[in-house]
Amino acid sequence: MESKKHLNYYIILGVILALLSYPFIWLVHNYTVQSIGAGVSSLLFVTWAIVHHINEGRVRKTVIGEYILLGVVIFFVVFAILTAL
Amino acid sequence: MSAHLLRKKSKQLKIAKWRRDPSSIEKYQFIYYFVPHPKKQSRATLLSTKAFIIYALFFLSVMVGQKAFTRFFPGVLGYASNIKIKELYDMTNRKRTAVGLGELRLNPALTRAAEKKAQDMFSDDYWAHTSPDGDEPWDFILAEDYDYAYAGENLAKNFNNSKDVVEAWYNSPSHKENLLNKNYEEIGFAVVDGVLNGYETTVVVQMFGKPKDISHLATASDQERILESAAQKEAAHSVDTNTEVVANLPKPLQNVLPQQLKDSEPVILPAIDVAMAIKGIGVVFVIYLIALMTLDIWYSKKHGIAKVTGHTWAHLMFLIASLGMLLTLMPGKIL
Repeated sequence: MESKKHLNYYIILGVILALLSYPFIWLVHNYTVQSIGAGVSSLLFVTWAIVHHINEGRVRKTVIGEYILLGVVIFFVVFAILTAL
Repeated sequence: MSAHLLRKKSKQLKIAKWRRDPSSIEKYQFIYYFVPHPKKQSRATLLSTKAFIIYALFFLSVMVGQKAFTRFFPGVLGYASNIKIKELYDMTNRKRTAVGLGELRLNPALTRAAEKKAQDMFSDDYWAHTSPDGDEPWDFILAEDYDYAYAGENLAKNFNNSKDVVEAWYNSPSHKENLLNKNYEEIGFAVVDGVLNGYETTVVVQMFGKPKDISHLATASDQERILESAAQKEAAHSVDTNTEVVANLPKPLQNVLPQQLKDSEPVILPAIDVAMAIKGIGVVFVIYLIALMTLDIWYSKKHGIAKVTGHTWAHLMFLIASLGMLLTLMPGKIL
């Protein structure tokens, strides 16, 4: 039951990431939408992490900080490439 | 005891110590940069908070540095391109005929208007339909004595090839409207390279029109002349570019390669193709993070290391999705 609940969270994360890939696949040269998509991806990833860890009872500053930093770094990578295109 | 014997004894003690306590060899091992530390129960050093802050600062500096670089060294960064008027023309008409519309014919006045618009964008360094002086696209068309009933303009820059230009226009509703407008009868293209906003690039101007007086429509021979002239310019540019490329090759390669280069397509080659360079760095970086996360999962499971960190599988999913997004990013802007 615990592992099924865990799996449900990962399925939700997978669906979120799949939906947010839409602007990158279908709006190839629309850099404004892609920048917003990258920002929203990072934000939703962090939100998912916070909700998941609250439900697990494992919320720690270091843990959430890790998700935030990863989200920020990936957003900077995507944005750096978009500004160069 | 002599100094030599003391040194020997000390060395033997050190070796004996690290054989008994593996953690004492830590300072001689860089392994924990890449794998989790069993005693500290933390991620690899390259996945630590400090490391991520450094990565974030690095990419921030790439964004800022790139803009600053173009200010001090304009034209060094740019976009490689290989765009031809004939290809743009054929692809545009293919899109039209696919939906049952008639083909557009190349018009000399629209072609000159497109050329003048492209040159104006480079000389006044702007990227817009309306120039800083307030000149609209129709002003360029009227200046070539083309009295239009209908007119339109599509712009593109930073693309690598003709196909991507037309596909980008086609996938944008407002630009597609121009491509498939039944009111247009004629078209003009300009493909001009230069330095725009600090970047060496190629600007494509596409002008559409229908004259008020249909007796002023261009003829088939007008179109042939335009295509011939475009082909000659492109071939001449190819020789210039390729001559420069050949001259910069090492001597042994110069005798081997010239024929292949002469036979190859004309290519605009900036000193650094900024789009590909930064995309390459981004893709390699994300692959590097994926590799480290995968190593983290494997090593932690193998050695039973329980860390108080976020879910590595979630990080891996996010990174793989990001890699997919990065790989879809292509250079080229339309207006």
